[in-house]
Formats: sequence, C-alpha cells, structure tokens
Amino acid sequence: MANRESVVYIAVFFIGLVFSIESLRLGLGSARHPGSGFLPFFIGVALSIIALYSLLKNFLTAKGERGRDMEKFFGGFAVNVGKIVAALTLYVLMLLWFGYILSTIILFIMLFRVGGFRRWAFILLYSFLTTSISYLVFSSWLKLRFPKGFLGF
Amino acid sequence: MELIQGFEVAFQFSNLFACFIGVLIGTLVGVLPGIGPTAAIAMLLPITFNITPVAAIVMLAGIYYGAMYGGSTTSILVNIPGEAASVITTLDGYQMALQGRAGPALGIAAFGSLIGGTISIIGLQLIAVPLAKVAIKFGPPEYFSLMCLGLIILVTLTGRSVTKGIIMGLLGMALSFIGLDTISGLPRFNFGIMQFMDGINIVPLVMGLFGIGEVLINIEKGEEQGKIMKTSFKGLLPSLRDWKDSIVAILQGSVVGFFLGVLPGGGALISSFVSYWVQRKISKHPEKLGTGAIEGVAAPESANNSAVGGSFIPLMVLGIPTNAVIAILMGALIIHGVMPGPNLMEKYPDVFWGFVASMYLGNVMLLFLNLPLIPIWIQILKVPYRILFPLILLFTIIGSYSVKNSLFDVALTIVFGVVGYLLKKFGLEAPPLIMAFVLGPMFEESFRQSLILSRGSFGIFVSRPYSLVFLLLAIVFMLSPFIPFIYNILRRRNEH
Repeated sequence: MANRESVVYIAVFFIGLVFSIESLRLGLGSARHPGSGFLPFFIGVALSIIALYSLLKNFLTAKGERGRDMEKFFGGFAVNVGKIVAALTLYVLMLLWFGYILSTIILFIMLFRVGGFRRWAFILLYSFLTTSISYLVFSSWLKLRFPKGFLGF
Repeated sequence: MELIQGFEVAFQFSNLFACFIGVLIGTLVGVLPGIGPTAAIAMLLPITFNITPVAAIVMLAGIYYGAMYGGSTTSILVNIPGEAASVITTLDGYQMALQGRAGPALGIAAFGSLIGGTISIIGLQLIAVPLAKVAIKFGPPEYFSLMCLGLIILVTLTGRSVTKGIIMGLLGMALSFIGLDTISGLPRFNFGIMQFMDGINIVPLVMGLFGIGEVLINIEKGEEQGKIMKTSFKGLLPSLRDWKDSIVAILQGSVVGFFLGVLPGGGALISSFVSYWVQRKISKHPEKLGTGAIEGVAAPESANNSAVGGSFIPLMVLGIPTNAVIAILMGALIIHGVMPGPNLMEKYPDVFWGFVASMYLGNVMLLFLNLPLIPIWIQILKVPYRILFPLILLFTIIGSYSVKNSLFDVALTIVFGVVGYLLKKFGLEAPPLIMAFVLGPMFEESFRQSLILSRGSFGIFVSRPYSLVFLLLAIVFMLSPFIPFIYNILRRRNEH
C-alpha cells in the first residue's frame, strides 16, 4: 500500500509545483493588493510540501514491502474497467460523426458485452429500446440538442 | 405566517409533483447499491432546467432525503447498504431480518426517518431566520474564517487520514482556480486549453468522481446483488414494545443528526455513526446492540434523515455548502439564478419557504411510499447490475453534456471518472475535493477582499469578533487529532 501511494504523492508534488510556477508567472502582487497568483501560489507550495513529507514518510516506513505491494491492487475484473473506459472514449469520438442514436446503440452493445451478455438478440433489442427511450425523453421532451452526425439524428 | 405561504407554494401542482418525483427517485437511488444521491442529483440536474427554481430545489432535495429513507431497505434485507449513511443500520437491521423481524425493522426505520426529518425541518425554520440576521453582518473576513473552519472540520472528520484529506482539499482548491480570476477578470491556469477559460463545471467533476468512478469500482469487483431475505413483510407497523424500545433512540438520533448535519463535513454518514455510538453509551443494555436491537436501527435512521435538514442551514443562510450533495444543490440554485445566502429569505421567500414546506410534505410522502412499496423495491433490487450500469453511465454522460451541450465536458467527465476510480483505489476520499472546489472561488475572493480592506494587514482576521471565534474553533478542530496523543502523554506524566 505504502509503495503504490508514493505514485500519488509524486503526482501531487508535481501538480503543486506546476501551480506554484504558473502562479509566479501570473504575479503574486503584494499583501495590500494580492494578485491572481497570490493564493494559488501558497496552495501549490502547500501541496508540494505535504506530498514531499508523505513521500518521505512512506519511504522510511515501506522498507521490505516492495514487490508484494502491487499484487492485489487491481481486482478480478480490472480488464472490464479498461474496456468500459475505452468504450466511453470511443463514444465521445463517435458522437460527432454518427450522431446520438447510432453512437448510443453501439455504446450499449459494447457495454452489454462487457457486462457478460452473449445473446445478440437480447443485446440488440435492449440497446435499441434504451436508446430510443432516452432519445424521446431527453431530445423530444426535454429539448436537449444532441449531436446529429451524418445521419441527421 | 411565512410557512403558511410556503405551504401555498408547496401545494401548487407542479411543486407537489416535483416533490413526489424527487422522493420517488431518491428512494430508488437509496435502494439501489452503487448509485448515491450525489451522482443522482447531478444526473437529474438537466431535467430541472425547464422547471421553476422552487420545483427544481424541491425535487433535488427530495432525492437527497428520499435516498436516506431508501438506504435502510437494502441494509435490513440484503445486508448491503444502498446508501453510505445506512452502513451502520446493517448491524442490527440485518440481524432483525434474520430473526424474522424484518417488518418492524423496516417500519421503525421509516417512522424514525419521518420523525428525524420533521424535527430537523422544525430546527431549520427556527434557526435559519435568526442566523440570517446575524449572517447579514458578515463581511469578507468572517466568510474567509468560516470557510477555513468548514474546510478544516471536513478534512479532520472525513476519511481515515488527515494528510490525505488535506491533499484532497488542496487539490480541489487548485482545480477551482482554473478559469477566470474573479477579481481581475484575467484567465489563469487554463494551460492553453480554450475550454478551460470558463473554468471547470462542477457537474462533470461530480459525475465523473461519483458516477463513472463508482461504476468502475463496482465493475472491477464483479459484484452482483446479494441474497434477499425470504421473510414475511406482514407487521410492518412496530408494536408498542418496539416503540417503547426505540423512542429515546429516535429522539437522540434526531438531535445528534441535526447538529452534525449543520457542521461542514458532518452530514448523514457521520451522524448515523455518532448516533449509534451515543445509543450504545446511553442504552441500559448496550450488549444487545449489534444483535438485532430495534434501537440500533432507529437511532442511525433518524439521525441520517435529521442531518439532511441540518445541512441545509449553512447553504440557505450563509451560502456555504457542507457536503458534496449540498454543493450540487447550491450549483443547481445558482444555475436557476437564485443565490443562496443571508438575503435568500428576503429576496426569494417563495423558494425558501416553499422548500421548507415541501420537506414536510416530502417526509410524509416517503412514509407512504416506503412501507407499502417495499415488495416493489425488492423486485427492483433483483435487477442485475450488468443491466443497470450501462444506464447509469448513459445518464451520467447526458447529465454532463446537457449543462453546456459540450462534448468537451463529456470527455472531462470520463477523465474524472478514471481519476475517481484511482482515488478510491488509493484510499483517497473525493468529498473534501468537491467541497474545496465549490468553496475555492469564495474562499479566495473573501481572502483577497479582506487583505485589500485592511491594506495588507492579516490582523483583520483576528480583530473582528466573529472571525476570531471561527478561527479559534478551526484551531481546536485542527488540533483535535492530537488530543488522544496529548492526553496519553499527560496521563503517563501523572503516573510517574
């Protein structure tokens, strides 16, 4: 646990550093007239200091834990997490080209497959039904303007 | 007088219908594990764009307190809390179900919630008016100190590690700086990305962290719904003996819940745990708690509902959210052009009193929704998660898209979803991040305005009485994690 947390603290350290440097570029101003970078600078510095402190604390306490640490980090179905993130990313890319209805049907097909459904008739029927109902509710009833894509809907 | 006018507003068909829909969805959200009120409110935010501000806040608040009611059903029948605030209810609720007393457990949970909810609304209307009169005198230094206090309480009370809480709070604040500087009007921290010029919207952030992040965690575990108790639901009305055993628990839970709800970071979750702890302390038979004692269900269920009413006080009176759900509700009010704060009751009496009155009605509606519909909620519980999660994801995406019709926001939601998933994996809590994100702009503005007012003197924060009190309280809370350590040192010294 302690080793893998170090990754977070390193990331936080750099986020703090980036904010501090950018704050200096924006200008700190003075206590009388604090500038745009005044508070963000101190927040960035505080982030980096706390991350560094936690990192050092972890380094001193985590001796001997290495190797065992990453083993149980991901659960049994972690591959599905990757598949869902990929499906969602693909969906955002598809929306502009294919429009809401076609993209959403494809998204549902991918998600149902990740969920473990194997019968295509079920997958296609549910994907079509849920997409149609959501389109009716959000587009027709709530007047939400979805991307139309080359199909026009 | 104002409350009567509030009831006139609440009884208008559109508001009554919004209240009904809110509590119905809230109960459903509470029943279903894997989706909380924060994500549900964010998802349904776009639906409120076409309705009045009163109907919007009535519906969204209904989801919040409705989820508290619904959460107990799964805790009692499946031993899986539908809602985090009902975790503690599993201890005695599930034991009661195993002993064939699921009916009285569900019954007392519903009645306890009604009493807790009602007491907190009375508290809300009694405290809000005088507090608003005091709050109207607050200037930037008082607001800054109050927000310091709120953030410190949140960091020290939530989560297992104070260091991690501080990191999350600071990250939230850093995220809130992205966009236009509220004082100079200049863009900052957008790193050349045009879409960041307006800053990050709270909806994609919450949807990602709580909606998509939660789905990814559940998918990774590969968990399906638990086994539902095959028990008779006859006798949902608690007996006289049940009432006698649980009335003190209900009353103490309501009081504890209300006051903890007012505290930033307190909320429904902590109040349910504290009320259970208090019940153990005051009970004549503490050994029975955890073995199926009805007061072990009554105390936390009254407390989590009462906390909801309490948590609205800082929002309505000071314009300061106390938890992530309230932060979303604040965002909803602002989208509808209603600015929460000390002037809310004066400027928008229909919104405030209509909302208060609707909470009375909503709590009564929930009693009638919960008890007779329990068999239906149980059937819904049987819907496999692999059918539910695609729907949750779609609602999440549509919710974040609808705020600005922006695909960039959808992409941002997915990114925050992955971040939320990783945060959970690393044991980092999202609520301090959300709270700091919401408070960030106000925090910075009041800090800078205070310094401009005082011509650069930090003494302004300690020279004004209210501000000084808030800062002293903040120091007390900051030192609170060290109290056991100091106590042990002093005890050892005395022993020597």
